[in-house]
Amino acid sequence: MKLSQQEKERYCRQMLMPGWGHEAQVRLKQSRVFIAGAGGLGSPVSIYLAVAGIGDLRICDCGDLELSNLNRQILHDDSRIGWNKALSAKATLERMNPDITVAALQEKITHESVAGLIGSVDLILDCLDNFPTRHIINEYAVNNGIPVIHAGVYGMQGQITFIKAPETPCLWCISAGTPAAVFPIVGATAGVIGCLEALEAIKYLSGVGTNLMNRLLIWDGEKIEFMELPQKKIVDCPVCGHLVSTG
Amino acid sequence: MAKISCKYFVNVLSVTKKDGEILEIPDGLNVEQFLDFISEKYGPEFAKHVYATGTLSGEPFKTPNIYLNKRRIQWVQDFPEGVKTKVKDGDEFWFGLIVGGG
Repeated sequence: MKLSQQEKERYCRQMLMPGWGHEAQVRLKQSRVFIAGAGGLGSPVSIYLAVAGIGDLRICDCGDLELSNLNRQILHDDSRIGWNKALSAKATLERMNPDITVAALQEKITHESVAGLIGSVDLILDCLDNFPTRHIINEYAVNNGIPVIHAGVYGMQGQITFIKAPETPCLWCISAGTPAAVFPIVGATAGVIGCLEALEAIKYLSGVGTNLMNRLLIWDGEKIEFMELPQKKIVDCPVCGHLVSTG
Repeated sequence: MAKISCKYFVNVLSVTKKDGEILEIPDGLNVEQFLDFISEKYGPEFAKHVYATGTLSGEPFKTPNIYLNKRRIQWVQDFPEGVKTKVKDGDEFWFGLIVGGG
């Protein structure tokens, strides 16, 4: 696969990165990722993946845009209230970078639909707002050997980790979840964590840099502090316990 | 009596109205008993954050949603007795650390 002259010019500043060059940029162009959620996290994640030249984005959200989303969901604007968020995301992302392909998936992620929605991808980005759906994706990812970047936000706090079972714990090992609720959120918090999530994805797909594995990074924006917690597998984990670590 | 350090994050902090405290608890409690103790102190809004509940692969689950000395109580490598682990003077519990929004 080659880069067009337009692509070489568009990506020239990141291609100056040590170890990047033409080869890493081609790897990004050849990559296919699944972005679960086109909301607060899904906005910065998908925007930065699009402008970095990830060739094939599959963005999934069954929700419709509401006015109360617009303090943080920067993929969308007032003119699109009532639109499905995945469709709105596709419109924004393809305008930002016409050299990539964006698929808008409007179906709800369930045990029945997950395989058809995600299919065969290089990476899954967790930009969801609830743990039940996260655990559906976690099971699919573990059973199909697909890495997941998990992130969550609340108020001015957020968290992120890179999951690649069996080299790392799976999501179930890290958390069984928190109660579903309408939660407070400052848009910039989703910006901080979403940008970290996008950078983790770009590093993994390009092969440049190392990933946040076996560590949960926690951001406290109120105190401007990052904290790290080492992560371990749960012995006999019901999701990833059957996998044998090669790490 | 044992002195236990408790730290409260985000959604739990909104219930306790403070980000931490030292609690004095009766000697001899295990983790499960301590979680009952503190849930009774702060009531049902707090209690719903102490255990994660739901279904996994169609099976219901209920599991503690806390960190003890920066480790999950589910890690048998660290806590062979799980929730039956005795709480010791100076232990530190974190509540509400993991967030779920996106």
